[in-house]
Amino acid sequence: MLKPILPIALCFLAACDPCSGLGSCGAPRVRYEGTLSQAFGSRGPASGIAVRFVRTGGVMLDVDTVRARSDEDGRFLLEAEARSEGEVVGDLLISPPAPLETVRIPGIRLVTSRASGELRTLADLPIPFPHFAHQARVFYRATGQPAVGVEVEFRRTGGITVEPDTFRLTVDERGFVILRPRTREFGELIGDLVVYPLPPHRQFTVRGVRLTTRTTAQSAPIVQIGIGARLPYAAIVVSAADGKGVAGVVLEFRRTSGIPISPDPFVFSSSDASGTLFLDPAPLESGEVRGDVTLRPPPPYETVVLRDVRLQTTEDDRAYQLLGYFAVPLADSVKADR
Amino acid sequence: MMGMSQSGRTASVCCGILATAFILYGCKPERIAAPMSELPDLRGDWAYSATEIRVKGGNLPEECRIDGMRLTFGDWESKGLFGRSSGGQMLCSGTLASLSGQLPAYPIRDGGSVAQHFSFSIGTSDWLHTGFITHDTVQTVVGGDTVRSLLFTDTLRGTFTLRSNGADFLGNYRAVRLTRGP
Repeated sequence: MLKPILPIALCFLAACDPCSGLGSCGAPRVRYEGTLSQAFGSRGPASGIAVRFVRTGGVMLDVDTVRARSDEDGRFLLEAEARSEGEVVGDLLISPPAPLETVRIPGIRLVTSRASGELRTLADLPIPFPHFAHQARVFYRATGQPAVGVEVEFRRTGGITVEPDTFRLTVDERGFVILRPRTREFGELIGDLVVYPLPPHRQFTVRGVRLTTRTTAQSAPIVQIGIGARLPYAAIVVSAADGKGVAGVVLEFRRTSGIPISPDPFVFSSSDASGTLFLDPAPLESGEVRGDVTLRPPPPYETVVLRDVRLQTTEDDRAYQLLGYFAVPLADSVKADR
Repeated sequence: MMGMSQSGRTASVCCGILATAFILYGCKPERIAAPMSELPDLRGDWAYSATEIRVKGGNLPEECRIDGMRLTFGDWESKGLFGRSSGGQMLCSGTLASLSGQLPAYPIRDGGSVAQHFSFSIGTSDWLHTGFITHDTVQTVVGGDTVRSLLFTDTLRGTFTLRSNGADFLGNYRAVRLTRGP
């Protein structure tokens, strides 16, 4: 008589058990997965970090301290058997690389489970982590414009280890490349930056670039890299009659020898109210260029030609050099009238 | 109907099938051929050379040229055609002689195409190439029989502008296909 009822009764009883259904059930345990990420910089995973959960209250665990280490993706697994079902309370201790101090997150509550394989999730935990926050500004010296699209390669030569130790970047629209190799160490990285500009400029290397890791959102110095040379020259044209600046003067520089420039001839039009002109053609290489300068002022002044003017390229960011004050005389007809 | 013979029933079934087939054929959407890509297949290696490279707006009679550069084009992507250059040297004469030198490897970017015309940049968008593609055909007749072998040589031709550190250059280029495919 009882035979048909027994399975039904068992089913009812099983429904009351949290371990019923498919799968197996075991001793109560905590099993939590968390993720460590870098709080600053790339905000990528913080890998290889020691994590400890130290019980402070709640149900007892078979160990007082549960230890784990974050993997390449920053994930870590806290797993331990509990003496009974319920909630265990403790502190989470995260130890980033020295000299960074251990991060303590108190009051972490973990709930036990008897379902085999059940994995609960802790929040994503951003932690201080050594990172690089350096940038290089790559620009054309002759124009000051960003060298957009130019490739720059970083090659590690010394210091702390980074991954990867050689990497190539492209200058962005603002003229910057971000130097952000991954590291687990705190310290200084030394390397070379190889720049691959367009022809006629050849590739060149900025040696001994030193990058120091940061652990906060603090910005780092910007490495300045100029491509090519520049000819930053200026002249002031004044009236021979009264020494005042002459506006509207057109300057022409016609190269006679030395390094090639662009454009050739170079023309600047025209001087401002104080008579200032700029003589800054783009040099195609470093060195000296020689040429004749023609100053064509508006009437009533006469044109002046300066022979064999020498201009020397520079590869720094110095201010414009004054070529000189040049006086333009009044035309003879005007002089006669006076 | 009840008295319909076996052959009559078969004929009816056949008519039904035919009618259904005609109806279905009428409902069938018009056959749509696979869309033909308007983008030329440039995948592979190309031998690139540039000639008559002059300083724009200048009065310098001297020129430069680029020899021995190889371009490798990949597949068309949503943002255009990409690839990479390798090798090559710039050779200049006279006043520009000191500009001669080996060229590094550059990325190829921003490739675009409309019909036979296309553009791409070597290095940065400051070295912009425009031009067109041609397919040269060679016909060979062997002996008295009509044996023809057709050889297609793809060639890219056009002009480029190059702006580097404020200096502008103009030039002509030509790239001949060496290999096909990725």
